[in-house]
Amino acid sequence: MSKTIILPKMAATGIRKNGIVYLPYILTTAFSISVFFIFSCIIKNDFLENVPHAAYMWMLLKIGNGLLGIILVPFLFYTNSFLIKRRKNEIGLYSILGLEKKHIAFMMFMETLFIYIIAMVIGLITAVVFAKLVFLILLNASGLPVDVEFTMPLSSFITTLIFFGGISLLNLGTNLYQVTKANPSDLLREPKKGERQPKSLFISTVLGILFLGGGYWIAFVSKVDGMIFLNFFLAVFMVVVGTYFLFTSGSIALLRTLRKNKNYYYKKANYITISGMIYRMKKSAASLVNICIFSTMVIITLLCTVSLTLGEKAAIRFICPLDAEYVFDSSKMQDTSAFETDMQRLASQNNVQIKDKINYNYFLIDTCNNQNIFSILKSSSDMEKERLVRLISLSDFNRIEGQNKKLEQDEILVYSNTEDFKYSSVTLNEKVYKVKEEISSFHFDTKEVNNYSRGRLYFIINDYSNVDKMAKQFNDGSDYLDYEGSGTPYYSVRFNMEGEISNKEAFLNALDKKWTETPEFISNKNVIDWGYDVKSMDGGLLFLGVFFGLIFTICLLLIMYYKQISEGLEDKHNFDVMQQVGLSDEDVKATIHRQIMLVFGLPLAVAIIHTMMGLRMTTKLLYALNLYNNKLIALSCLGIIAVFAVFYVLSYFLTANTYYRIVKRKS
Amino acid sequence: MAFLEVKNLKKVYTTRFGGNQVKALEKVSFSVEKGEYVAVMGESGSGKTTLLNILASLDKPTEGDILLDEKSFSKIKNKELCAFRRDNLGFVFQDFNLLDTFSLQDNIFLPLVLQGKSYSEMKERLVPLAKQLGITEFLSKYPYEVSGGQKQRAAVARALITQPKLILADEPTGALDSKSATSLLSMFSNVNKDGQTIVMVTHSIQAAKCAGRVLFIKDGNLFHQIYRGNSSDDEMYHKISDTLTVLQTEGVE
Ligand SMILES: Nc1ncnc2c1ncn2[C@@H]1O[C@H](COP(=O)(O)OP(=O)(O)OP(=O)(O)O)[C@@H](O)[C@H]1O
Ligand SMILES: [Mg+2]
Repeated sequence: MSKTIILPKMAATGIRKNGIVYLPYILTTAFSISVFFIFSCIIKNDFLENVPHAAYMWMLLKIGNGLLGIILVPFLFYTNSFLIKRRKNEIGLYSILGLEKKHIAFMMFMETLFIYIIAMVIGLITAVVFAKLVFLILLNASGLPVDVEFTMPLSSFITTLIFFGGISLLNLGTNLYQVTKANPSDLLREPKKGERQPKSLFISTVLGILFLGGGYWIAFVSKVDGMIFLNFFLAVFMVVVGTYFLFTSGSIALLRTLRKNKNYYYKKANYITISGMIYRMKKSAASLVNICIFSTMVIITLLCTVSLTLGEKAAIRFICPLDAEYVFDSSKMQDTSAFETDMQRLASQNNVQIKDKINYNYFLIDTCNNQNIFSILKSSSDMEKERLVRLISLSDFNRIEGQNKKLEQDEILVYSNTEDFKYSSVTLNEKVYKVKEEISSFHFDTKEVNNYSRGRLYFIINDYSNVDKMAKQFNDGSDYLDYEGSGTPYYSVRFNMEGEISNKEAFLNALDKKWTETPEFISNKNVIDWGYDVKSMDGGLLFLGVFFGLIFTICLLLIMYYKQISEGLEDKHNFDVMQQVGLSDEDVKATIHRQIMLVFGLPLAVAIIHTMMGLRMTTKLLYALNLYNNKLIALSCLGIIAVFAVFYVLSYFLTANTYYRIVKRKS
Repeated sequence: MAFLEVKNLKKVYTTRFGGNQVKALEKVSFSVEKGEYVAVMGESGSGKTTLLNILASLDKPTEGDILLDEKSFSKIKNKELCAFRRDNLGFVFQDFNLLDTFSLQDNIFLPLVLQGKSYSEMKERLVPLAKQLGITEFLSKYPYEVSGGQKQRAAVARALITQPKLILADEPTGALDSKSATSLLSMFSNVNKDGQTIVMVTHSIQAAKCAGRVLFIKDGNLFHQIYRGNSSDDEMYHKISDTLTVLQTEGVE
């Protein structure tokens, strides 16, 4: 038979005979292909750009798609390393039997090609079947209209083909390099050889502590700003590297100490476990690190997802304490009551009742802030200390908050909707005011100390004419105003609504139509529109969370599976011999359980520590989404860890069982 | 009653895909007295390893039974089999069966660890044994780092270290040069003089002639046996080679 026929045949047999490791690999690749393709289709459906409120989600999906690529490459690379390790022996034999390197290369190429084609076919068929469904789920989760057309553009197929072709080539290249550089006797011996033990643990321990500490530190101190995502990835990267070093050196040091303790080491259960772990400690450490990292990712992803779902309502309310707000330029309004008359009329036309209505005047001034000194912006360097301040008159404040406060000429009240202002005096354009009181709450602007992104500072001044004067000073004295509304006298109306949701929408539409085109109109905001925005963003996040949670879980399960299978196959002979020498069935079970408990307990414990360390950063990310309920976050965190631990223990029993079935001696 | 009684052993292997059956042992009966040194010879594929595996309780006979010290193998429960094997039998496998995860020393300790012996006791037993077998300097090495002969000696040490009632060895000199083979055989002879019962499968007349009795197996049957009696090693050698010649010529017919 000619080589061009026999080599592909050998490749096919190779895959079939090693089904126990190839099948999960093919299925994983197929799954990755499906997910990747579906993501790419959704992104390329350009309607997302046009549908209102979908912009956030579209951006999130793009980020998700990038992340997916970043995760899949190393993951498929890693699973591939299990495969090639299993095959080395066989390939060594082929090469002794006279197969030349170029033939081996051709055979391995055929193998890769077969796997690529099979995975691609399975993956794409699944994707085409499920893409529409996934898409509808996404729209539903985001509260977007579901009657849009969904297309699968050709470019998505091409991108998927190229991306996974690239990964396959990368894996093939690595395999070829490993196989061709070694001589046959090395290949034959490869599966037997224990790993060389690292000489010095000191360096890797120090590196581990540095990286892990650095990662934790970043996670702990980083603030919610433009750098948060960069910091987040940096922290994740450093924790991964640090965990790897520490797991390696830590486990080796531990095992060595245990082995030195003769009385401990030469006990039935310890003996087999410890020697087995030393035998492959580096690879073990890598698997453990992967299990640990993926566990952490599953927990954190779930945490964000669950917190978002449970906290969405509160997050919407945080931005819209009252259902609707309209802001006008009062200098252009002849009669401020005209709007409210319209409002009442349109409301009753639409069967909506207006409740809790408030209206007030305010100025928004652009200042240069240095501690408690607020001065006029005079130079471009002042811009770095720019801070917007809201000025309200005492009478408006007393009216809308139902208070009866009194102020002297040189006294003001202060309210900050984030951290307390704390100073006892304020200098406004060189004039010193005494802070008579710092107000602790505004009912139309909820106080939240963890609110980093939407901090607002209010000064309440005794008399409206003083407010007006002050605003003019700040406005007219500066050539560097950044905020164009500075100096404009604002008139704000806010209210709640009661009635059917459709009526409310109709009412708001009518009101918008009448008033948003007027010259005096400045801005409007209502809980319904904002709710759609939030839902679209949260829905996108939820979708990503669920999807990524699923992907991480599958990665996790697969790594566990591969670890147990490959070690089970390696250990089979050992267990055979030990059973011949007198290891009983119970001993086998006890040993396996001890071994797997150690192997699985450690990553779970470390994953929980990582989660705790990452919690601060996670909560800050949630703060950025206006989720400030720490108790909710903490409870979700505990709940998720508990659920995850149960899931983890279940997969532990499953893998322990697989392992046991492999090594059990048939008699 | 003899120390080891083998009664009408029959072993039929059924190949994995059913159908084909291989009769490895047809009907083998013999007995071994306490302190005896028995060699088993026969052509390749005649059923020696099969017999030894059944003696070692690693495999179950299709028919027949074995009694060790009047205890019937068929009456030992599966659960107790492991402990029984551990406490009574020691074997040297044809392909050594050392574990790659353990150093030679730890390989030798394995049965003792399974028995729950203390480290000091294990060490006490190992030192003289290793010296006798000439493997003291390799003890800390791993199986894939030593030669075949060194592995085989470690396997022998692992069998001897439990001081079992019965030692079963499958071609223990197969991988050794004549010098190491001689020293191993003299070691077997020594432990045998101290009362150790040994059953050894071998192809080498050199090895077989040291035994007190040689059993010949052919096509799954006990073909013949010769006793040393008072004959010298040389006389024994000739007896064996004569029997082997007969064994082979009859096979041709
Ligand atoms: N597990 C098995 N399944 C099927 N047949 C087997 C099995 N083990 C051995 N046999 C067959 O039983 C017969 C006896 O084999 P055995 O291993 O006992 O031979 P042996 O005398 O030890 O040979 P050698 O001197 O080559 O080691 C052979 O024909 C062999 O092919
Ligand atoms: Mg044999």
